[in-house]
Amino acid sequence: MKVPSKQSRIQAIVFLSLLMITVWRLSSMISPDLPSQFPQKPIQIVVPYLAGGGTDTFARILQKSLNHEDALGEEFVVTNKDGGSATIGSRQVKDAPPDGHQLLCHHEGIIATQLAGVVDYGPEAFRPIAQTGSIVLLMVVRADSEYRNLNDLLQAAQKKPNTIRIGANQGSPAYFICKQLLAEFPGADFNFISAGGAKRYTYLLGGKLEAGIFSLAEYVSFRNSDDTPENDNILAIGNFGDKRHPTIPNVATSTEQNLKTRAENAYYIWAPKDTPDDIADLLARTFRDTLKSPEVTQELQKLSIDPTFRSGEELQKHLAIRVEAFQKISADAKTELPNFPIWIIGIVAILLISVIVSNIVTPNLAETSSPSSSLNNKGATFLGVSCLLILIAYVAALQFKIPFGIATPLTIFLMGLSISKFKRKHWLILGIIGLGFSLTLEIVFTQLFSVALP
Amino acid sequence: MQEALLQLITPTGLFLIIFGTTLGVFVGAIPGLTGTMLIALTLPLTFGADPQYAMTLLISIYVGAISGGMISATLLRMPGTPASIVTTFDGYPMAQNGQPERALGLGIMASVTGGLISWCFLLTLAQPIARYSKEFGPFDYFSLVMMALVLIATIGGKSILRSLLSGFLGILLAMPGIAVATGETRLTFGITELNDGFQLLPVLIGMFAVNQILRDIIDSAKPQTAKPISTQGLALKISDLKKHGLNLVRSSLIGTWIGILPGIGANIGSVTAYSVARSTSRNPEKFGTGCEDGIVAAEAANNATIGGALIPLVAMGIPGSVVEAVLLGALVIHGFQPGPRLFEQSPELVYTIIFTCLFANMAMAVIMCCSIRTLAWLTKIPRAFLLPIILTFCVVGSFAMSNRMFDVWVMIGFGILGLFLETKKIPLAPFVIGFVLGPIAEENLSAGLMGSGGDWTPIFTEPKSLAFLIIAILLLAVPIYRGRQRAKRSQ
Repeated sequence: MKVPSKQSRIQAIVFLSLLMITVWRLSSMISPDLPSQFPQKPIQIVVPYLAGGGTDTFARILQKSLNHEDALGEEFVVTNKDGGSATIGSRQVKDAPPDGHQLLCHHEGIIATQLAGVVDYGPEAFRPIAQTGSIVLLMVVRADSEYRNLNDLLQAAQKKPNTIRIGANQGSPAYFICKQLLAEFPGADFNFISAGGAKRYTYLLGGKLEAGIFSLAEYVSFRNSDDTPENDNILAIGNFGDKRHPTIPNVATSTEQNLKTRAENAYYIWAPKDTPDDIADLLARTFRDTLKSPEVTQELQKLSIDPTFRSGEELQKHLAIRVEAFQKISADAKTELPNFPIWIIGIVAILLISVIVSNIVTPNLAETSSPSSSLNNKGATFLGVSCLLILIAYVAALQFKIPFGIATPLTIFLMGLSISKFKRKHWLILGIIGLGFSLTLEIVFTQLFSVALP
Repeated sequence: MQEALLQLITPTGLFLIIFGTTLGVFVGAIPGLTGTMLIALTLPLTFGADPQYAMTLLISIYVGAISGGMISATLLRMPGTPASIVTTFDGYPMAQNGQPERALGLGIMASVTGGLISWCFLLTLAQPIARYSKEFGPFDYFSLVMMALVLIATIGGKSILRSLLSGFLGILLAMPGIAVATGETRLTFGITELNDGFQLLPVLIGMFAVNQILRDIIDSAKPQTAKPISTQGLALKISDLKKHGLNLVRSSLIGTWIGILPGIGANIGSVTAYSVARSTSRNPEKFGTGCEDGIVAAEAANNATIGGALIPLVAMGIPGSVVEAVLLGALVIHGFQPGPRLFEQSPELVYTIIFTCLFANMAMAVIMCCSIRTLAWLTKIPRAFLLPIILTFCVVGSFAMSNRMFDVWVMIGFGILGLFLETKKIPLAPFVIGFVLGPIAEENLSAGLMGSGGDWTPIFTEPKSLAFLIIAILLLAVPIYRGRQRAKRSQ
């Protein structure tokens, strides 16, 4: 028998120590699952938008303060699950176990996406924990606009329907407000142009829009100093809130302008539907205390978010009113747009047929151009397919909650072995790479960035 | 301005720049991980820090990551970031032809030039230039995107038909999900996870990285015909600067200018610059086979878009790209009011951003040059070790972007699709360009049509829009015309 060389002995030691660390980490993860006190583990606040957006910023301000006070003895973690008009994130929380460990931070877009038909659920599919702030919404025009108040704007829309261009994505809360306004002026109609966020602002300045709805925070940051030329600045002509806001005392509310339309947006914390009362109450109290802390109040003031708090009965009532306000308006989108998908499918079909036909007519182009086509070697193809299967098995394992720390080293080990044709001397090295790599990744992601790996 | 500079050249400031840039280069170079992800993940860590230092770190990462993407694009044909897709067109063939160091060297030179030129604009002309972005209406944006989109017909293969098929397939596969204009879901076939469509990152990782890894695995089982790798080092000479001078300046200007327009971002900047370089080249047929001009155009433009995209951020508070939106969020969290008054209210912060951009570009050049030898060594690691690791990165990267397993399956699906298309001799480059640009084109066309009441004529009557369309047609026609002439002459 061959005496193992010094090098391979070192390798064996490294391998074994990595293996021990992994086993130790895994065993600490599998803690006995006793139905004890809430919370048992970090509480995830799911933000259905990208990091850096308005909702994300809001959630992170709360998170900072919650963790600072160590309110529940466990960390609060913000997770971004963006996309699909925020329905990707909301669906995840809706379907999460109702144990209070996964919460959603979302505004009234949750009502709008249901009514616009994007998803078939709305607030009723959740247990609302608390309203944690309200956002004032404003109608904004370019500062040199002829429309100086809401009535000017809507009368113009009544006189010449479809000429006033408004920046609002169909189905968004802003769109619903406009529809509400239009309902007060029979025959009036806006020309809705989809333009979100910053584009609404540039289009407004560039005269591509007559008006748009902005949150107070957006308005405060986009509004330039008063001595700016009027054609290069924006002006709010109506506040849809209950009363004038101290930041912009000159802007009259819609009620003052004799209109019935009222609107605001608000941030809510949602939990899965069947969350028990005691957990919901505890969470509501925690959020209330945080919202009242001077630290949060000050931060929210900078963002022009009012620290309105509602929970329990009061919150249920408020939500019912809000949902009703949305439902009154038909969200039917009138679109005279070409049916793009059909066009593109048609073009792809035509091109596909032409390629196939040209292949039959002049087959030499397709086949002869590369004599060493990579798929003509049987052994090689077999290896490729088996590695693909290992990859699929790996992802499936992760999907079925097999810990990352087990699945990853195994995958690296198996795949590396198949590629190196099961060379004995690669066994240990691959084991080391697999364990070391997955440990490092796991530590970097979960400890440093506090992101859960699959 | 002096204060900002003084703070940057303190040990902490310099450390953050070097650390951030290195980290960015490193992460940008790993297929599957992107700068956007790193910045989004680092952002919460900076909450407690001094806001100026936080911005310094984040912007250094941004600059590093865009440049680092070039490394894996060139050496492995796996674009580390979406911005470096175009770099794979010529960088990889050149590396395969035995000149990986030369390819990287050219890329670094171009990146630095692009970064510096756009930086000059950022420093001196940010205010007046940012104003011009408001002159653009939806039709103008649409035609601008068309300018880049025509590239799908000409790039990546001998058969225009196949390129077009690939491009339109890309546009089609970008369609499932919620339509921007109408807010309705389409082509999701009841799969709720598809409400968000196929995300760019998993598609990109699948198409290029997973596809390439599978290809490499298959190749590894065959007898190797390794090409000799030239060890001429960087081999950059002053004459290179002269030779590529015009291309460098032009591509940098295109990158800066397109970077300024919100929502268009780095991808289209490099595509357009590449397309223009190809059309004005005397040898357009060389593009895609390892052409120096192609690498230079792509890298100069994609680094220039950073400076360009910072212009509206600094001057008007408008993010030019996804990364910038995250940076904007960082400003808000640190208690700043990004908007037209940012400069007035916190000049020291603005100058910190601007000068970080400069220093990070210089740091990037030094870091990349120093590590180039080590990097070329990357290609010599046994495949059995390298490929499984990259694959794990791809899985983790696809997942971590939105924390969804669905994205990982999308990645695998597109990996298989990519492999299939390539074996059928259908080029992938047009697919990706169609996938990236199709939705932007549709969004702006829809907004335009909504504004005009369904009338298409403004596309041709708005002066800017018309000008872009004419350029688009020229970009399409000139290379074809030249090719014909050449063919005639050679007969």
